[in-house]
Amino acid sequence: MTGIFFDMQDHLLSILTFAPLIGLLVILLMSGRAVNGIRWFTLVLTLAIFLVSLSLVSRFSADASGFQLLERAEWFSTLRISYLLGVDGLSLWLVMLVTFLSPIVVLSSWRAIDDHVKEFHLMVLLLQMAMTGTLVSLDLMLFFVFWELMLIPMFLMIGIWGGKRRIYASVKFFIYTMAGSALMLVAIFYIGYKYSFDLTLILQEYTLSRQEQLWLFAAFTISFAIKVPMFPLHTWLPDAHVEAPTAGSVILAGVLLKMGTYGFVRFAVPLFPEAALAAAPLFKTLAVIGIIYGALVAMVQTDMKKLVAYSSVSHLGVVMLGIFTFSELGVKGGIYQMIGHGLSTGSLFLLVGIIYERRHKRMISDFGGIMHVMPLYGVCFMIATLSSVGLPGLNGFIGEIMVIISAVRDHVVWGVLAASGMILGAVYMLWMVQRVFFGEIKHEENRGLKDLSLREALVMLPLIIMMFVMGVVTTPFTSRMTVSVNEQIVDRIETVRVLQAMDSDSVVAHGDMIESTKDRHSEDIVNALAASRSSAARRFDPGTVAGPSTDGVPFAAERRQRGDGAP
Amino acid sequence: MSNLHLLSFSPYLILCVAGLTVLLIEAFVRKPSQQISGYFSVFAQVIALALLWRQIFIFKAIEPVALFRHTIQIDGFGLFVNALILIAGILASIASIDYLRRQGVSHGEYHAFQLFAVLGMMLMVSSMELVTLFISLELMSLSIYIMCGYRRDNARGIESAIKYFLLGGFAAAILLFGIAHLFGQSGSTYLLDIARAMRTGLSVSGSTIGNPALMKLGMAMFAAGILFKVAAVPMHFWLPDAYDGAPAPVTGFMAAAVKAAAFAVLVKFLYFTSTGNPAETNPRITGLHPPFDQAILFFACVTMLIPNLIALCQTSVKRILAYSSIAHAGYMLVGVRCMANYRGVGGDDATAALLYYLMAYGLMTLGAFIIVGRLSGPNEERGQLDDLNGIGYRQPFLSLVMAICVLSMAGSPPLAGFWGKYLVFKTAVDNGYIGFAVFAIISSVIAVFYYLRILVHMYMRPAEADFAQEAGEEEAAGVLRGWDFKVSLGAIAFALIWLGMGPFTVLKIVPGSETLWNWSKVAAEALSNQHEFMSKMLF
Repeated sequence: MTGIFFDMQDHLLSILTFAPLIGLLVILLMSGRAVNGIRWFTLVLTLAIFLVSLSLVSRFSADASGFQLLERAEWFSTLRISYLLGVDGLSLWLVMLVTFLSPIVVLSSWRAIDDHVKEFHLMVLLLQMAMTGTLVSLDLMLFFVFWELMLIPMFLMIGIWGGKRRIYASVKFFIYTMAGSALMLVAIFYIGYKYSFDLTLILQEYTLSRQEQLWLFAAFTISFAIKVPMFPLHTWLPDAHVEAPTAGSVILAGVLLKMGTYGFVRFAVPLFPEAALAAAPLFKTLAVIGIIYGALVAMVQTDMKKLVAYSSVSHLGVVMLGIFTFSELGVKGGIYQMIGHGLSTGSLFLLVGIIYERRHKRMISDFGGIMHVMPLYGVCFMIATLSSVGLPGLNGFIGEIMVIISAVRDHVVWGVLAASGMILGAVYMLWMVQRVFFGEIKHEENRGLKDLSLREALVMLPLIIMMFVMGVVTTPFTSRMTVSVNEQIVDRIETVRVLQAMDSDSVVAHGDMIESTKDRHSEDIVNALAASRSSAARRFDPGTVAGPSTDGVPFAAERRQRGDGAP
Repeated sequence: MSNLHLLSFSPYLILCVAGLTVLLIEAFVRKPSQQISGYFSVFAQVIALALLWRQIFIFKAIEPVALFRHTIQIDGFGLFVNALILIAGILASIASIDYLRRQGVSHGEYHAFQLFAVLGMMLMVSSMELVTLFISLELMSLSIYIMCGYRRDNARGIESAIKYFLLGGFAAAILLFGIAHLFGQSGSTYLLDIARAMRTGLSVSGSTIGNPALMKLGMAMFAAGILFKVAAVPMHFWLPDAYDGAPAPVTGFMAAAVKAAAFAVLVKFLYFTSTGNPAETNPRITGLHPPFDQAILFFACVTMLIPNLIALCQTSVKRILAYSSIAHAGYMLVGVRCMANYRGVGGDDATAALLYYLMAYGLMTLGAFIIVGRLSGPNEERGQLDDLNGIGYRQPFLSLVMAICVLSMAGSPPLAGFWGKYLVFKTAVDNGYIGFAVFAIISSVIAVFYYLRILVHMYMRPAEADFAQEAGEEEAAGVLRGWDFKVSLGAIAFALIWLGMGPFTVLKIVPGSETLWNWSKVAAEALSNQHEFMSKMLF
């Protein structure tokens, strides 16, 4: 631990995680009256962290398998809990999203937050630390610590700076999420006691029995599904979003919800592939229900913020559908959609917040025709909306189309339902834009509305640039996901499928199941599988395992042996 | 008595002498300088702690020291709990100096009683003989009863003291009756003799035990007496009233130290009276007698759940914290249950987890009660949740520490309370009680709601204007004089954070989470080593 600050390059992830903590301590010592000093300090710090995080992308190798930039230190070694950080293609862009959104959040609340400014910035920094830590920690206990740590600042943020029903919303948010994660904690105990807390080690060394997988998967997914939130567990979200201050909504929609979907791709599916495969129909059904239900509910909302909140339910349904197709395209699409949703919904919340600051109203009926008085604002809103509904050329389209294609490949019903959700999305978003921005000015008091200030334009600009960039140039983003998506999810699920096919083969003497694994070299997978399962001793020797499957089979065990050794 | 023996006994001697000296100071020093006795008491406890500290490092290696014909034994286990009691005592003394001054109560003998209470607890934890144990328990209890009712003109304080005294006296009688049964059957009051009698069925004189059922009855009555002090649920009715009416630092002291001492005695007693399993090759593996293991399981479950449900509808902060302290005893009983288990990783981890929990719990509950005492004004009249409204901005430091304590109680990582709960629940899972662990975790999630209410009132509800001004003036008057108070609270907050996430020991004094765990394990092993030693002697 003491060595962390000696070598910047080796401890990039620690720096990204704990730099906000140092800032937090500095702010704690500053006087609460030095309002602007605190704002500037936080802004500069978060910007600096963002700049540092850019080197994360440049140092990330798209071809390497396994986790990169690993950091391992003793933490609680008698209990085998270690301080283990690392990124891979699944978490890289989410980390970037956190560091990217933080300065925007600080800048956006420059005027909106004018009481308890010091406390607010403490919360922002604490939240940033917790979010980054959640994304980069590879030890289950460390992950859990950060995961729970996210709750406190968000709870306070909603409860202190929120709207009228803020206390109800914040307590509901806290209890809901904490109840979910309590069961995950028991599951983590179990894994830690029986196997290890070290995610890399569990993934390499152990295969859990089917029974264990089902129980543990259930415990993990309840926690994650509440966070996402998936359809029946989503009721905390509209309350939290509507009552939260703009900055809180942006962080909540931009990053916090993704922690749920991230939990699925990082933990629930790779650790328990058999259970995930068994539960996939359920999750796909819930995801599709979420897509359509969220869209339908959003359509009838009269409050702009609530409308955007329900659109999140719908969009995250898309992400979940993508993940549970277990195909490379689908999972990548899901992750792409996570980032895209962070940008577009984040911007929508910011924009709703901007108009709320001016008018202290956000009912759709309170506006109308304001394009005439706020053209720049209108354009920004339009772009964010189009990105959200998936217009080609903007980021939303890429993620959605990837998910829909893979859903169609999976089963045409999922594809059709998901696509109809997209259409509904266009309907409610564009209808809202039409009612708010176009036509004649309905309320005279809206005539005096000021257009975006320079600060607000500066807040929106990077978001809009990124929407275009991610809509046009996709390869830099997707190429860095490929290896990890295959290794963590697709190959694991394939292995289970093949194994199940082998089992049923031996009973039914029937070859169809193996054929159903499509273009994969099932024979080779089976061979490699046999090799990897042969003996524990042989697993430590790369040569013996690499033997039977040398012809480039995208199989997890083999790839692990090639690339990801000890850190 | 050799020098080593004198050295091991010196912390007790110092406390005893200091307590008597405080009485003399009170008799001879004139009124305005009465705080001197408070600072003297803090000083004495710090010296005692320093002497303990020395021994902690010595005793890692050597055999336990038996004193006074084996009535007192100083070993790693006792040292750990004694250190905890002394830390709680020091913090409570500092807080009560401030409290008594602000409440305008004369210091009088208060500090002497606190020193005697600390002495009683420490002796109780170290005693190996039941009469010694009973006398030290009464020394502790009587001092605490008096401290509870120290505000003589306050009706709630008196109510608290009387209620605690009557019920406590009743419990002491049951405990004493239990000791009598144990003595009657085994012919000795030494724990080792009783343990031998339990196992071999022979009394000290060599004859067979006349009525083994009475032996078990004695055990049950003894355990009931201790569970009363622990406030396990059917025996908890005294606690909310006693905690509510007592001066806040006394409440904190009771919650932190008395509970720790009572748990230590419970653990020790159950360890020595547990059945060794002769079929097992490892004599350290122990188990409770059949009715007791189920009983502890039952107590743990109801003690976790019921007070959490009651606390949900309380409006007084002190009562909420009182019910929460009952619930924490329930979580710790999970550790007691797992300690005495044949299966799994053995009892050491569970005992160590319990000790860790006691340390974390002691710090956070003491901090919370001290702050409530400071915030609730003259005669603690403003102790309702609504009185905390907006206090987060009027008293940022106190509120921050309070928030840390409360979040730690709620088990939110990365604070000490989280690791306490984690370790205790983990031993339950390790021992195969997954359902038990799930139950415990669900109870602790219920508790989150009322902990959040405290935070909600402190930070999210606006204050009424007149209260704000009143408190502002009050605080302006006491700002300069409370530095020791603030330092002690800061130390609590730092310790809660550091015990939650600290990877290393600061200055070799403040342990990180892992170091404290290792110390707890050393302490737990000291206990089981005695047990092993005893088992070897027997089989």
